[in-house]
Amino acid sequence: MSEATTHDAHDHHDHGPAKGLMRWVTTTNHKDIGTLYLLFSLLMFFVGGAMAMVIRAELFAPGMQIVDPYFFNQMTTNHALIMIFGAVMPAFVGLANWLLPMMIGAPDMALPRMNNWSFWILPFAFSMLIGTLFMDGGAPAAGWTIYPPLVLQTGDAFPFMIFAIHMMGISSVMGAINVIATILNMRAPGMTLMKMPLFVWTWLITAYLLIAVMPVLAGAVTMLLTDKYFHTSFFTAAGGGDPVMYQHIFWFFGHPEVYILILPAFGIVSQIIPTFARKQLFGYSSMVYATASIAFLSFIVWAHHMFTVGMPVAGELFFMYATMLIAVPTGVKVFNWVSTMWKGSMTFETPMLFALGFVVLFTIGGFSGLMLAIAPSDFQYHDTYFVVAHFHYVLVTGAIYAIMAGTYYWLPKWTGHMYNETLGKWHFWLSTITVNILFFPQHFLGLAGMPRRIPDYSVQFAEFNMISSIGGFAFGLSQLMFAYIVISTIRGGKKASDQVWDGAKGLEWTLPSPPPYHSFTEAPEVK
Amino acid sequence: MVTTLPGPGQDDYRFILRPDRSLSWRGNLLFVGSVAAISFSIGIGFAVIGLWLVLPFAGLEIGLLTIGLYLTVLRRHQVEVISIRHDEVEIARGVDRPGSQPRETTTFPRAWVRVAYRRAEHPWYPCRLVLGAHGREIEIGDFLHVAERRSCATALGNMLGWRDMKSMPGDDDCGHRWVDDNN
Amino acid sequence: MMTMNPVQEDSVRKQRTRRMAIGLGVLAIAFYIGFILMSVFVYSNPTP
Repeated sequence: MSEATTHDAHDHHDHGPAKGLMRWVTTTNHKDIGTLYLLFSLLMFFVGGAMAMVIRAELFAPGMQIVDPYFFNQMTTNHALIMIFGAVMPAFVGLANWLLPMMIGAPDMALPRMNNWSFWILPFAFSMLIGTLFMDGGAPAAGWTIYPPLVLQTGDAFPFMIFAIHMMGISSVMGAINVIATILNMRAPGMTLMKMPLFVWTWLITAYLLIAVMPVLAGAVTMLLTDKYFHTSFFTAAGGGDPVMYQHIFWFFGHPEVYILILPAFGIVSQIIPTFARKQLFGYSSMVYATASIAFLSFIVWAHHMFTVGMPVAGELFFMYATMLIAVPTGVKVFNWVSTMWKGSMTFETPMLFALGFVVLFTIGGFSGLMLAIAPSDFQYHDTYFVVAHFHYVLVTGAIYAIMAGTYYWLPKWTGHMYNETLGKWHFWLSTITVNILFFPQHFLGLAGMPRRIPDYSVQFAEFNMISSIGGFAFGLSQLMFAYIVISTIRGGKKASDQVWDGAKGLEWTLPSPPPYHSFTEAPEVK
Repeated sequence: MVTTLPGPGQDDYRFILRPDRSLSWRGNLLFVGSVAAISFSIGIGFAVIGLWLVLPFAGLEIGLLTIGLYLTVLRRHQVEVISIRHDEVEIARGVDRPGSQPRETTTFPRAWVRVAYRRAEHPWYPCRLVLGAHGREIEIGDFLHVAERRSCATALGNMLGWRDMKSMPGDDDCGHRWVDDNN
Repeated sequence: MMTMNPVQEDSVRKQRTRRMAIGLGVLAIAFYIGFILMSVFVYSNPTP
């Protein structure tokens, strides 16, 4: 066929994608960008994980052994920032990129060029953040909540950290806008809102939360910057400001943020459990409303992070009750997952194991959260290892377990290869046993009074810290298996069928494995 | 989505090509409005207690959201109308909105216009549906699914005539497979 | 092995799941209770 004619086609990738590395730099394809996000998040998981290993090594025994206290604080701060903004959030955005268009029957994300931008900001943001470790005065060490006045004592790293947080925020906001534009406008005919898979629903609500709170974070860190360099006194008491106001504004962002980290996880688990229970999800619409209620409640509970700051009793009561209310929609979800499995014909492939691990262990984190919500008891728990145990149960065995479940679940779809099931099961059992050895004793340490963010402790905490550290090293090592499984599945393996799992339902499973670069050659048919 | 309508004349036809769209202009407007209302209330709330730096960021972000949604809606509301009349074929492009005019119109003499459905230059991309005559070509329906493009191409080609087509490229030539998994 | 029809396969699978869930449940409860008892033991004998 001769093509020696001029034509009037607009915006065509006539020459195909760029070759080699440039393909990944210039790509606007949702699958490429999803892959980039996921690999980046895997890398950050290990960078943040290495910092966790330093922390656990220092805490292995009482006394100062390995690092100096200031460096220890840099590790805790950067471990948190990297895991939250570098590992968990990009992993969810990567999953959204890969899956949302395929789930709603769209060929790509709505704004592909912005999608490219929102990814490529991240490597620069994190290089800058990690780069602060080598600056005069070291990396930020005031905790991820960067409370003033402590954080204002940071050395040269301070403006770089603020700028890095701005970049992460811009990236998240652009990702959220893309998700919203895609879900609202690009659904296939017949894909009504109440037919959308739950992963799509939870991401829509997450994107809404991101849009609502990211300006608050941006404003808060900018005010820190102006306090330090431009003689404002938003948070400096000497100039008439109020450092406690920073805590309010930070947690006004921070509490919705923790739901940003968990809602997509709920969505993933709600996709996986029905597949392996071979039953429809129990209570679909109650799941949607529960997600929306959790999102709404996230805006009115922030001060439970600061019960000990000195609030009026009315305030303590309000935030205590509002926080406890969250248990209602969350309970609805947990019961729905359990009811989905009830009398189902279950099999236990790795994604299902991780999803079940999620349900059980996230619930432990949820219950310790309820304990922390009781204001008078929180006076005892506040700033202790009990809090550390709580949020690691919800973030590691919650968010990260869901991400791993999702990875195993969709990896055959993405790569066209089955992962090694035996290794996957080993990974699950090793992770689950070690993660409990790692975080469960931290409850006891906290209840016995061991404070957070300290490199040294008194001798009565020695046994459980040693157990916890052993669990930590073993958990860290187990994750190398995950990297190995993922990489070897990308490189080859048994061919996966299009449906992959015999109970899998949804548009993404109607596509070939791996799906074509441009999805949906046929107009998708929504049942 | 392709809609075919018989035209006013006896052998006149109209093909109306639209991308999938799932929310109206109004729906998008309401959404932006509700998000803006929440973001600005938060921003103004903080401004009232003296933390005014949240507000400009909220403004920037809502601006970006508005632009993003506007561009998406615009793209989702593209429409191409191919009117086949007695002596000419007119391709009109525009935005599907009450009262809007076509932004761009191309006319070919009916007797000379030919249809081609051909491979993109890279196998990852979907095949292209092209109309042309006298050395001028215009691609249509680049927002359609491959199957829709194919059936639209078949209908148009049979009606107007093909341009050096021995056979239609199969789906496997049209971005159906991502990686060469034949090995 | 005898070939099973889908209904039999399903009921065998359900039975196996039930046994496994009970077994694992007992194991998990033992793990957590054991751990908690250990903490009670550790912290009820403070070093003088």
